[in-house]
Amino acid sequence: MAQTEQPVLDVRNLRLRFPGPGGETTAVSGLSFSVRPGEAVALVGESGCGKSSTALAIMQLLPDTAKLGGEIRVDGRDVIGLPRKELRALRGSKVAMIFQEPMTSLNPVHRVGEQIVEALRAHKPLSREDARERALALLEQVRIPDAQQRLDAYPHQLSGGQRQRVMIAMAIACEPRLLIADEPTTALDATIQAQILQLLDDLRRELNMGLLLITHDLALVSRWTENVVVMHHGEKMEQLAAADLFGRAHHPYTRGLIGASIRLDRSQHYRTQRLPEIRVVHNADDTYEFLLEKREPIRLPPPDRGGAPVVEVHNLAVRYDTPRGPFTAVDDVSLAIAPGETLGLVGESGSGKSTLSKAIMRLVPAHSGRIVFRGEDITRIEGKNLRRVRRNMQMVFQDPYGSLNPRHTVGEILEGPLAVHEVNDARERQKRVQRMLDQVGLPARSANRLPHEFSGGQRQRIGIARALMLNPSLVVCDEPVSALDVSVQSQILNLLVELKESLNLSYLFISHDLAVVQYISDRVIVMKDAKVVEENDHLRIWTHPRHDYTRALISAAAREA
Amino acid sequence: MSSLGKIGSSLRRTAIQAVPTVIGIVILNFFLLQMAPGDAADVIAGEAGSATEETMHALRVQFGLNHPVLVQLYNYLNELAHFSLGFSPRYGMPVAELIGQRLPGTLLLMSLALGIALFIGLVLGSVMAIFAGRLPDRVLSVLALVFYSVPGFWIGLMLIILFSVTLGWLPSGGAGTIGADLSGWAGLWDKARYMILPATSLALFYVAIYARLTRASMLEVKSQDFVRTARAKGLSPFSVTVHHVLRNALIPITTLAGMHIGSMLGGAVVVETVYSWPGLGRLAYEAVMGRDFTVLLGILLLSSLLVIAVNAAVDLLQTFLDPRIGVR
Repeated sequence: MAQTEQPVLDVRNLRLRFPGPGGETTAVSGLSFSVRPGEAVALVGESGCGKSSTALAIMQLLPDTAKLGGEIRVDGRDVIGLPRKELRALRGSKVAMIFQEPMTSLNPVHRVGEQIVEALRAHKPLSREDARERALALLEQVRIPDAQQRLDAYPHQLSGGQRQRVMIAMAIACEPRLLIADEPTTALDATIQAQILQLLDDLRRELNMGLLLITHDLALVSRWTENVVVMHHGEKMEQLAAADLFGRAHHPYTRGLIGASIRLDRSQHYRTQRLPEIRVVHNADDTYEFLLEKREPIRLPPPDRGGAPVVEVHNLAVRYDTPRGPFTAVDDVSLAIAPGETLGLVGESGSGKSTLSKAIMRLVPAHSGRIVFRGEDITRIEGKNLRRVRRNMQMVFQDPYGSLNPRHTVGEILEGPLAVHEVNDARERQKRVQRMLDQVGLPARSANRLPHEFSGGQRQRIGIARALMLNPSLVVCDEPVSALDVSVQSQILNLLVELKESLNLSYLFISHDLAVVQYISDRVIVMKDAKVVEENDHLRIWTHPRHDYTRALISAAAREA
Repeated sequence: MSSLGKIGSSLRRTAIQAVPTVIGIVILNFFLLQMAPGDAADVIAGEAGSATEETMHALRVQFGLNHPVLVQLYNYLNELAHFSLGFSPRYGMPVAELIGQRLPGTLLLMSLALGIALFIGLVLGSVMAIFAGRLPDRVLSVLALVFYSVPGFWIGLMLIILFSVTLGWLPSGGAGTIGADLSGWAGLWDKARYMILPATSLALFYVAIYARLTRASMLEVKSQDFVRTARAKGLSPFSVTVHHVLRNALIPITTLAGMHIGSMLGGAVVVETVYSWPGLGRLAYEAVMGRDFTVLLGILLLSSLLVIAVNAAVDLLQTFLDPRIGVR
């Protein structure tokens, strides 16, 4: 019995540095923790805290330039400095890993069965037929429906959740002692997320394997793991039992993270409460201080439901032509947004929520139905008229990295809309850029810098600034905080509320995250399979859901938390 | 079965779409050639040295060159509609027969050159990608740059000087030992000896292109998530490189190789002239010099058909290499 108690992973005083043009950067310093067989440990932190680098260090998948110190014992053996051949024997058989992006983590040109067979045959003397049979059993073990047929499918023929299941099947193929899951559900829908986590939880008990879950999501940690290691700037802030995370965390950073994250069961709302923000102060002697800033709520006038809506959509349908015939992405959708109102739009990927927002923005043509913007039917207008309307409706996108032209300075990006919409005086344009930068909380000198010089949260501020340059009355926010860390998420949501107050905006806020939608919305609509299945105000939709699908969404989110 | 049916219908559609394309190409070529000064009668008369107005006129009547341009075009299209490529005034034989004699030689040379280029290019490119930034990569990059920038005819001449003149290993030109009646392996070896130098000099330029493309494409694939997955599975570096990196890198390379068939025909003109290889390229060159437009039109028509056929084949190959691309 004593042997089973030996940890499957024992990290001691791990140090990791990357040489770079501006000197070495420290990714991890002095990290120690261990994972016992059958135990689930979470490595939690925000982007850049060193959690993924730690995972790659355990697998020894870091680039050759990385400098490692300390010890990483996998099943008793230190992997640092292990000869390549022995490392290969370890990878996939004793320790396996699954990654964040199920879409790109499988080779697109090989059938999924082949990819599992390959993992098996790399470590076990199996014939092709036996390996195939075992692969089928694995697909059944990870609960893929129609496993027999899926064996010969290509990755692109599977959904995101199924692909992640294939990744898991591949990872557990040789019954590893330790499974590392690096943000395994971040790219998946809420209902799928819960299923995958449940699967990982069952498997670690069945196979008595250690699970190292790497995530930024605190709610998920407390539900699915036993121990939590909280990281910041490559150091361990604190380690505690997952059950104590929300109640008994000591470290100010952990408490800050908990304070800044929004939870469905707390029923926070932007009209009554603002989100606390974490301030991280990097002192001159290289120490950090963490402060949780609470803010006073802003008094906002209630949405003007009596007046004319900013936008009305009547029986809108959008169709795409596909090789297999027309596909209806939006089907008979009606909605209205009152001045000063925030309408939350919830749905899973493929539900049509992004297509709906693009149709309202007139970025995709409507098949039938009507879009009325401030009293004017804009469903079919073109050219000059369309441009005139567009300045009043703007969009904030999900990806703060891909949606800004990397070769334009921030000033140019912000001036762009002004130039297009005929603000011809250069000095006037610059004045407005400066004013907007100030409003979204960016320093004035940002105008001369390029997007890559900014962090994700700052880029999202730039994206918001660009959307607001022309004083729109409607802003469509398509998953604006999904790619951001918790602490940045609260800053951006607070900013959206401030801007709403000062510029009198109406939002259409699209998200798959129920807690965020609950916080930011006045009214919520739920979309599934191209249709609106439910609509209610922000309180009643969670307390009295009428549609089964809404209930399923809420229970998936609650199960995770 | 259904995928075979799809391939059939895809080929049928390509064939139907090819008809207007080919007609357009023929008409365009016809007018382009009309713009060149002189005609076959001028050249024949010039070579004879003592032509009168009357004999020139007689020649033109005989070749059908006395008609207005549009009538000539109509006559040519009419011939094509009856599956005839016309008659060469200069060679005194049907164009189809003339091309038929030369085509196999050129196709053989081209496919050998393309094969060499792809094989060596992929090997060099893989080596470069594996050792990216290190010495083997640097040396091969310089070599690729040399192959890329030196003109084909010069490489051809240098190869002749080295292998035929100095070393005496390989023949300097022609397509087979004259008078030697060889068959079986000996015959094949004899033919191969004559093909090595022209095929190599035709291939070297493309070796450079494929090596560089393979390198870039493999480095791009190497940074993809699924390669990390493959390494995390504990696969050997060789099987990661071959099954995951190279396999995916092939997709852009086949696209480019398909496009190169057409430009290889152009390169064949030079190489066939240098090595006096009796191929289509040299025939085209001679036809231009002799203003033998019927032959030239026939060759151009054939090469456009070849390009269309190769494109269709590459499209099918792509669907095989990348399952995300569906046969339509």
